[in-house]
Amino acid sequence: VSPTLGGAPTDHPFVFIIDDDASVREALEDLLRSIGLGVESFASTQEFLQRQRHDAPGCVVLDVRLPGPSGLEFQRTLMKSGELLPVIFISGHGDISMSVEAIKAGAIDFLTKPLHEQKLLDAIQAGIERDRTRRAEERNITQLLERFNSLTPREREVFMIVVTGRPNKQIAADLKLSEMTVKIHRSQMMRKMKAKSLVELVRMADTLAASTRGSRAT
Amino acid sequence: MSGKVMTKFSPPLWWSKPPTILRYTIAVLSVALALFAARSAVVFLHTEIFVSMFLCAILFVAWFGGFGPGLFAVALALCAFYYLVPPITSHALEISDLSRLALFTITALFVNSLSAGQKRTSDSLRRSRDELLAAIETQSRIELSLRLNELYLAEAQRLGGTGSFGWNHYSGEIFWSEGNFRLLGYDSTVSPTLELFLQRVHPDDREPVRRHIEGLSNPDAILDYECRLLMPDGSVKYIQVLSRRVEREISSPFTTVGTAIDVTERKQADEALRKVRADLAHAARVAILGELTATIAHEVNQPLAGVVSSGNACLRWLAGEPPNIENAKQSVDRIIRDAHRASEVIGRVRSLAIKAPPEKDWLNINDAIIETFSLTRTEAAQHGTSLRNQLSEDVPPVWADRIEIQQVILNLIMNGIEAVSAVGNGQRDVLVATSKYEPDDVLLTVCDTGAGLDPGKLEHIFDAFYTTKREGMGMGLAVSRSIIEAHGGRLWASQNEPRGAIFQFTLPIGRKEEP
Repeated sequence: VSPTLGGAPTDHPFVFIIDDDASVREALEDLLRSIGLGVESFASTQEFLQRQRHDAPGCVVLDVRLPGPSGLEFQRTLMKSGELLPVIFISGHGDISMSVEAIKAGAIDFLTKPLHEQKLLDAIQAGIERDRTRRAEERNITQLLERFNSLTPREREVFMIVVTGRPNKQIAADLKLSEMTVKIHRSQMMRKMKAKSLVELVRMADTLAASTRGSRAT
Repeated sequence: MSGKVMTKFSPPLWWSKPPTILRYTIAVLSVALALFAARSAVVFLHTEIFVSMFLCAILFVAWFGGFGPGLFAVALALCAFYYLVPPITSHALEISDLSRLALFTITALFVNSLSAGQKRTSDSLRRSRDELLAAIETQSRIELSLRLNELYLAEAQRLGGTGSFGWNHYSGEIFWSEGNFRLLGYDSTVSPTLELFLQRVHPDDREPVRRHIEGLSNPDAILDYECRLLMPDGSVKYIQVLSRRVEREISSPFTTVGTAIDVTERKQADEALRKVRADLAHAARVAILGELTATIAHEVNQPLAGVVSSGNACLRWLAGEPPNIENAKQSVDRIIRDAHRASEVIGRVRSLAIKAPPEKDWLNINDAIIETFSLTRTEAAQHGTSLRNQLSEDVPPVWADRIEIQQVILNLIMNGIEAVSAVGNGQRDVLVATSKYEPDDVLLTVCDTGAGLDPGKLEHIFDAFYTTKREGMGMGLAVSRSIIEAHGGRLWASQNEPRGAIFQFTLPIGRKEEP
């Protein structure tokens, strides 16, 4: 598997290993390849940030003890920069406070070396799943936003009121339009949003609201 | 004859030659006295004894003053004879008087020469005797002082546990002093031979000693060697033997003279000191290893982690359909490599931890540094310190104890890491460099960018129990210095520019010591 720099999005999962120790790095790379995963390894976090990576569902296997900033600091840096790859920490020695901090910060797992194969593979699987879900959600939100953005201002007004559950008559009153006109806007809006029912539209509205809240929060 | 009598001996005054004026005065007085005595005899005894009186006077003068004054007395006697012997008034020289005068003259001259000759002979005899006595005295004084010297020497050799010996190359004759007999544990009645000496030499040292002795066939040879003696009671003595050929400088029955010194006590003290030093070094080493425990665990764990993951990978490659043998082989290769790496780290730690007497061998100082780096790299990384080296390729090997030298390097690096991590911001560098140092030393330098050394305390940092760290024992640098000095090198500190400290040590190159 030769990494194609910044290649087209693919669904084949990829694992990124960051460890300054060549023995660990090479062995992990070998192990993950043997189970058919795509792997890229980096000797330092700088190298990870500088190099372009595959756009594929995946996760990061990160050594806690690294030259320069520690793995935990790097995890925070990643999150701030909007890189939402799940992180699995590996460490030469079990440090409880460090592992608690890592898990709190959103890490999938905190494993000690030598790595237990099944635990590692489970964690990687979980990481990839989480990333896959996240990517799907992201894709979904992007689509919804695109659809929402294709609405006319009047249609958006109708959308905002429809999802609160008000009937057409009241919407017409609110917007000082005729009921007929509201009906036309509403069917246009439902078509553009590709919503088959009011329930589905409400769910879409929730997702959109959550994503805008989320983006405002970060 | 005893020396005391000899020293009191001195010749009487009159044996020495009296001054000329005295001798001639005596001549005049003697003749005058003879004349007076003879005339008195004429007056009182009515006998003429002029001739015998004058001859007596001449005899005495010649004996006292020698030939010259004797001759003068003869002349005076003649005048007196002519003018003062009766008949005084007759001035005419008669034939009978003439013959009488001539006869007197001849007799007088004969007596004079006889007496003067006798005087000379007795004088020279006396002188010879005096000289002989003086010579005997000198001789006995020398003998006495020789005997005293011998006594002192024997006593000194007894006290100092030394012995001296002489050896004639050509005749094979050997002399041992009393001290030498005692040193070798032989009765002084046996006649010394080379074989007797070699019998006492420890079997393991016999060959080298034989070689040393063979070296004496060179007339310029100067020997200085140490060997062990195995005494009949099973005890071991260490002796130092110093000898050289002397036939060109002094004539002696021996072509080689030498001294053997019992250095057992010194050796034992040296040995005890060495042991204490080694124990201390070991304790300090174990202390450093204690500080490095986390690092060492990490250094072993990393390759083990590699081994486990590669092993898992290998199994998976083999379990495939069909099995991927090529990849499995690569995994196994990596397993072997990583297992070796782990075992090397353990070996390094173990060699530092075990208590073994220092053992010197040829050592490449650059290799020693690289190995030390494997133990300190993680420690440096943890302290956010960059640990670098600048190793010169043309550094010759040194004759040193690997473990002890690595201990010093480890110590200096750890100090450096600690120093730089104590400063808040800025560069955190520890640099280890090697180079050749004039004229025939190897120089190792450890620079850091820490807070540096207090110039006022530069002198004390190598003192035992001197420490600036809260948890330090204050032995690291003291032990390091003693290790380097035991290797014939120097360890010193100075300030780095613009900040930090520099520690440097030298080791002599290519000097293999005789075991």
